[in-house]
Amino acid sequence: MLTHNGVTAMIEAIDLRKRYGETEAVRGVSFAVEPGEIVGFLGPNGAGKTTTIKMLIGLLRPSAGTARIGGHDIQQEPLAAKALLGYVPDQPYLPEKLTAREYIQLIAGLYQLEPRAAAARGEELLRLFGLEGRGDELLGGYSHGMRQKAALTGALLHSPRALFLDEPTVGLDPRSARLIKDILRQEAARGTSIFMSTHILEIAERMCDRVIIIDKGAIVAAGSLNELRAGGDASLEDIFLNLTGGAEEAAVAEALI
Amino acid sequence: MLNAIWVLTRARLQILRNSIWRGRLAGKLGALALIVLIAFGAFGLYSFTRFVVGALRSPDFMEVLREAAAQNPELPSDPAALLAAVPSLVLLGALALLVFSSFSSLLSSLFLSGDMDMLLAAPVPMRAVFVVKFFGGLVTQYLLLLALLGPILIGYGQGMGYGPLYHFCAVLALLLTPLLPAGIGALLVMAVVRVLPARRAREIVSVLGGLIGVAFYLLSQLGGQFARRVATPDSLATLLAADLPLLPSAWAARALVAAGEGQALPLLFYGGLFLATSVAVFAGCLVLAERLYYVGWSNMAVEGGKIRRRAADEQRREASRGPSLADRLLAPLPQESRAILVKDLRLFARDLRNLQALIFPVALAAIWTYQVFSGTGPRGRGGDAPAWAAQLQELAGVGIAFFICLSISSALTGAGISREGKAFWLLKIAPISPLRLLLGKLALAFLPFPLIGTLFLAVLGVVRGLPLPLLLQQWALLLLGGLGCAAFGLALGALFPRLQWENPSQQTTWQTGCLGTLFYPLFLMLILGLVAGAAILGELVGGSAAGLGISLLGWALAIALTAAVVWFSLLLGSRGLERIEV
Repeated sequence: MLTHNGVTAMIEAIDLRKRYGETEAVRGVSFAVEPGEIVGFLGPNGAGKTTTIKMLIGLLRPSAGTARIGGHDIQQEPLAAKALLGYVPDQPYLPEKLTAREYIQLIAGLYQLEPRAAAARGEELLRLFGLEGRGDELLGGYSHGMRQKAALTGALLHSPRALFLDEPTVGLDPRSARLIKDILRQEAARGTSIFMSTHILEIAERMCDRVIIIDKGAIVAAGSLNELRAGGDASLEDIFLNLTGGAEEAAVAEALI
Repeated sequence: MLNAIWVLTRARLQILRNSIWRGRLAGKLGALALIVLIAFGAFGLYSFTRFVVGALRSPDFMEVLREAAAQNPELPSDPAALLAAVPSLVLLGALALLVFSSFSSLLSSLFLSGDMDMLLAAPVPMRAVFVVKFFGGLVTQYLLLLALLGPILIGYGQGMGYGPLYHFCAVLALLLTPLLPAGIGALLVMAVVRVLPARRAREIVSVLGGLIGVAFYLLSQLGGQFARRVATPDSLATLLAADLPLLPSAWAARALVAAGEGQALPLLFYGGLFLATSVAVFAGCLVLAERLYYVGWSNMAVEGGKIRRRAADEQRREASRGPSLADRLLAPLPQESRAILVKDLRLFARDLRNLQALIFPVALAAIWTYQVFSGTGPRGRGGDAPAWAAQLQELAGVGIAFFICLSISSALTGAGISREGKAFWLLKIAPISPLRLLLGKLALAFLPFPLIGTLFLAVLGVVRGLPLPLLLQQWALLLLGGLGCAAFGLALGALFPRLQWENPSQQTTWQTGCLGTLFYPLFLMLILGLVAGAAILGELVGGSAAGLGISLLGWALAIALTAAVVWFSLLLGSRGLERIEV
């Protein structure tokens, strides 16, 4: 599948659907992300962002539709697709009784990396995230931000071609948030596709090449900021609130104050 | 404060109501079955106590006792003093167990519950939080007291022919009994949490709990030998020591007996003493809770992780040296499977709650090994038995080895995939096939059979002088049985996973438990039947070549059956893994 720029897509969602009993959490989501592109995935709480990401990376099976990574269907060719992707969840549950260095060893084994090269890259990433001094500490003793960094270390260890992040900066201090933003930009510059969900519109506005807005399980808008503004000067927040029905709520809140 | 206690209690009741009404039907039926079972057990205890106490007081028994005392002057001629000490003995046991169990449950309730952030941030008095958490943590204790101690006390009162005052006091004693040990337990918990992380303290308590369980089991196993030395008239006098007037349990018991006998003064004195002590300890907890509870909880919030520092030269040595023996042994496994195996072994050794699961099989192994080694072997006493019968008798050793290895394997792997818990997403997004994932888990589950089983059988063979061919057959049987059971257990774990657990003992689902219990004996009987049946048939045929052929055919069928079970299990497990959604 080609993207809107005519480039072969690294991440593709084709009419993805997910149904839980009577509830349809995701209703026919389709998009494509090209290599080196940073795409922000926005939506109100419960809009279907995490469900969509989980279907794209194979944690959930779609009720219908296809998810492809690097041209490999995640359900049909899971190993080829998974070898290309990295993922950082919003709540990074890691094996609490492993140290960060042992965690790197585990990831190296799972992704079949050469042990010495993986250890060297792991040390490099630990240093980058300021964890080299705490690499022999059990992950269970890490703060949320440190776990997030450890999870990112694991996700970047095998140099993925598609990186998925679910609320990557939540709970991080400004320095760490800035660090992660810089690293994501570097990764994108190396050709990695980055797909991240976020509630922080400022991040989406400043970092993303393109933004996809989802509401009630369906995409309501997609494009670059300029395309979304359609020649106007509305902020991303205004666009987001207008599209997701938050404008009325904002008015009510203003009236209450 | 009372309003806050009411609000928090109401919330807990609402949670209880919702979890009952909105829970799954299977859960409701299970709870109902448990309640019926406990009710039957309680009724049995009540009936037994009432019958025994009534029988001990009967004129016939008194007559027998008097006759026995006439022949043996050391025996008491009147059991009244001993009967009066029964409540003391029972309450002393209850108090001792409550100190330990309340420590464990209060630790979870006071410091490890998920709602503490919300409660401490809300404008709720700390004492109100403490009171609700304190009694919330004692719910299990109260239920156990009602189901175990209650029937004994009521049965005792009925047997003794006591009136309503005794029964009223018995109910009061049941309500008050946990206050003292739980108060002490709460103070201990608050003190310990200032020094140790709460989660670590819980792990240590789990291990201690396991050791106590093993101690009880050892007592029950060795009780037969022990009882012969202890069951003397002198020991009866020792039982009276439980009624020592310095013990709070004796105060409650004496008050109960006084209530039954209608003696107002001892009832008021001992009852008042017990009531005042229990309430004073609880009040002391309340006073201290304001400060200790908050400080203890605040300490938890700033705890760091355990640092496993390695010296730089050790790291260099590790990096420079070649592959170890373990690396070479594990080399045939794919890299991903090996990584999972190494990770699981590391995690197992670092969680004391996992080690707790090892205590029982290891203790059992020690007892059985002692019994097998110290007993006279079948070779010594079965001289006339045919060879195949002697071989069957020798299977006791392999049975013990199998049980020990299976217990250790279960402790190592838990419910297989469920052991991953919330971190399963890591394996799910990794480019590893379900088959290789299962292979790593199977290697871990099977590990005890070749390692510990081989060692056990070798020692057994040397001590009992078993011929090498027989020993080899036992070893092969152990490995076949182990492989089949480990693979099937793993498949069940993948088909019925439970990844949302806090306590490792909550990993196993009822489907895994039930199907495993059905499969293991069936599979073992089949392979044993094939091997032993072929051996018996071979001997009946008589011809050495034909007999050997039939025997080998039995082994071939057993191997084929095991291979089929492993293949089927891996297939089922792979399907199960593919179905899991995180």
